[in-house]
Amino acid sequence: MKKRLLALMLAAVMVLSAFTGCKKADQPSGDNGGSTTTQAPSNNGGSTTTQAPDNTTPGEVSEVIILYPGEETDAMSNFINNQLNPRLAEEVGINVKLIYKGWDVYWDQKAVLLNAMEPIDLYWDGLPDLASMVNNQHCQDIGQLIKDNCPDMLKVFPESQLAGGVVNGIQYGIPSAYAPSSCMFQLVCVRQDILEGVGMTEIKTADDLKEFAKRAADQYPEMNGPADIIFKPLTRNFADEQYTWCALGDAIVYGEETHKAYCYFETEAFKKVAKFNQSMYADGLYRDELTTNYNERDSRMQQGTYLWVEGSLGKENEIIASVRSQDPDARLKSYLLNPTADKYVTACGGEVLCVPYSAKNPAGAMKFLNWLYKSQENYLFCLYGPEGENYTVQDGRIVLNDPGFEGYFYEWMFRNANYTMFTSDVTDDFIKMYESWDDGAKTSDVIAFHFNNENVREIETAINEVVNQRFTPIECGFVDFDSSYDAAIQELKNAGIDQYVAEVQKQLDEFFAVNGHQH
Amino acid sequence: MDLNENKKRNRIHSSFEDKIVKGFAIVFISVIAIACFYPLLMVLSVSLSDNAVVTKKGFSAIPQAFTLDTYRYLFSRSGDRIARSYIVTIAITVIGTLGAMLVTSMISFALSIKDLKYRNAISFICNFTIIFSAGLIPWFIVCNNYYHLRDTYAALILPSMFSVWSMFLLRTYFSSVPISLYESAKLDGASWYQIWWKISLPLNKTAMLTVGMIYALGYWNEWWNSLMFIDDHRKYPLQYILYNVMSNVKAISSGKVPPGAAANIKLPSETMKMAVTIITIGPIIFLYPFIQKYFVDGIMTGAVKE
Repeated sequence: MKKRLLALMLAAVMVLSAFTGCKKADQPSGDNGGSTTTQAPSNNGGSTTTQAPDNTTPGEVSEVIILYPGEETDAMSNFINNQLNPRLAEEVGINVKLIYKGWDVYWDQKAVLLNAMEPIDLYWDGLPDLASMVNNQHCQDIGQLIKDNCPDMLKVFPESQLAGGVVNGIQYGIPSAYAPSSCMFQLVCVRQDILEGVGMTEIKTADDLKEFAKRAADQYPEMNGPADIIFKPLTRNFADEQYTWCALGDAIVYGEETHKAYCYFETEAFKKVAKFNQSMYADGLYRDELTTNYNERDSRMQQGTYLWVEGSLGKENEIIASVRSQDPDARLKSYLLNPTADKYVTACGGEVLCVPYSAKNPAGAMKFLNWLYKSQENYLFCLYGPEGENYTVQDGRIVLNDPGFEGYFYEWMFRNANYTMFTSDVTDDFIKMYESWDDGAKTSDVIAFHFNNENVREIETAINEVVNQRFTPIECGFVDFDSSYDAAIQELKNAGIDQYVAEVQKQLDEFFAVNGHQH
Repeated sequence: MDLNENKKRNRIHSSFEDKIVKGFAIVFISVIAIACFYPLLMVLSVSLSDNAVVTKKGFSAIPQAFTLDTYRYLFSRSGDRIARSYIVTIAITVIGTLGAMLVTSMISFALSIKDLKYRNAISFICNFTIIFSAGLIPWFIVCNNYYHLRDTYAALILPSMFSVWSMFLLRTYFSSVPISLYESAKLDGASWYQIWWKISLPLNKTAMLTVGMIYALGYWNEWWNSLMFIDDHRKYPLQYILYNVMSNVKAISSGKVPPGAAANIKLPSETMKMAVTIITIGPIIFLYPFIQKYFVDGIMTGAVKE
């Protein structure tokens, strides 16, 4: 009898403990005590409106907690504590506190902190994942918050840029990197010094690249060849119409002229890319690691012993310091394959800033962004600190006192074309190209389209497995195209790719019915 | 007959087969030892090499273009941080191990006494946590919101302070002590606390050392609790600093980082990665040969019946 009673008591204690952990989401967490007016997400993740709490009284300084990827440095801590926060406190009544999570664990930790309703006020993520974040209820509607708190920011973000943060008609994020971006990831960033060293001057086609690799293998045997299979630039080179990747990673593309969704692996362009890459392997120009460690392409390029990597506008300036630390004479230049084909602006940058439902000071987060984008002086202050300390401005260029200075806030995260000031090592030619890069570019029909995968999640898992196991080696040219392609396509069909494409097309049609076509 | 001849006569003569087996064993164990030692040697060698040469020529067991530049750079840039993290690691290892031994040995001792009231229920609760876990987020909420461990040194110590597996290991040793010993102590007027402290613990010294070693290694290698709870970099233990250095590399390899950000992530050089590894594993590597015999002793205790 005693044992039974004891067992019952234990069970009761366990159940009670479990319920204690399941507190309501809108209750403050134990250590916070204070009240919050931010409402928890509704189950449909859709139309929850968030009141913009501004609990601070005039003169009071509120704290804004930002989840930030990377490693904390002493220089950054000193900058925030001694330079940024005093200014923020005085000018907008806030202080920022950064919670750093290393790159490797950033996404896992973000999920833990947001699911545990930790009071994070602002966080960064990749813009392509915005729809997933909305589905996971990790970001709240910030439309009204922006209107109320960000008048200065709105002056330097065109409406078309902010539209990239809209899902189901609701503003869930701020696409924070606003810069010329047509043909994003369709460029190829090459070692210009080696290119000239082998007697070539420029790259225009895939054949030029192959010729470059062949000559470099002969004349620079210490180099390791290309760092990347550059399937996106090659797709631009081989495609009859330009494609924009719009769903399921690299599996679904949108034809900008036919206005239809396709499985990328069934397109003629993919077949040509795969055959080109296979010929590169056959000629001994690719190393196996391009397939086996595909994701390390950027780090390979930064080692200074590789010839090219997939590029984006300005990438050569972003990575040149790393390359030169290995090879001081290195020069980089980005080229667009098939330069006469149409250029499309396919995304509102790659970054997005979001406010989670657990934010205690969402208005403060918006105030911080508004302050940052209020003036070029504030913008540069956040990136480099006060003028004169780490940098000076000469002839409209930033001259860093220490060329190795890495800056404070990530430039790529907050990039804004209205305030961008290049460093003195960037060439005039590049600046000229940068400023006119989007001239004549068309806006992609799917620039603000976010695919909702809720109805096809199971199919997505099956397709991803086939893509990773069968199509990645084919795409890289690692396996023979002729003998493996048909079987791989059949597996993809069995996994449900047709159903998936139909779902994407359906959502695209709905999207176009509301927003129309851009061209 | 002199002494040498006596010794020769008493020596066990090995047959040819014995010699073959012995020779094979020596070669086999040597190969395994070299296979284990070689990567470590490589790490040390790369950390003492010039990075540009390593990038071009790859790793080597002998330093290429020998230089101490990486260590100089590391200590000049992060010397304070490394020194501080050493103190944190040593402190949490010492305090954590002592605390864990105290808690574990007490509960093990108590559960080894068959007359203990609710003994089975307590054992069941402990067992239950091995089989069923509430999951990461509830655990985080409990530690963070209820125990308020966020950004405290206690967060590095308390969550790892009690291991059920170690408790059961220790209980087995405590159970092997004859109960009559405790009964005679009780007759002499000893309290349970005195029995635990003055009789049980000294009799199970080897087992205590073994379990203590497991706890100490766990605390020395601690990084998970830092990742979950510590925001202030001044509280980072050594292993978490190493973890952070490697984090960028792993993130790039995983493909999780969006392309725009990936191109901008600064990667540590190969020599830097190896130097950080040497700095963090160095002390425990040198200490290990002196303490490993206790592992062997501990595991062997009770294995031989005579």
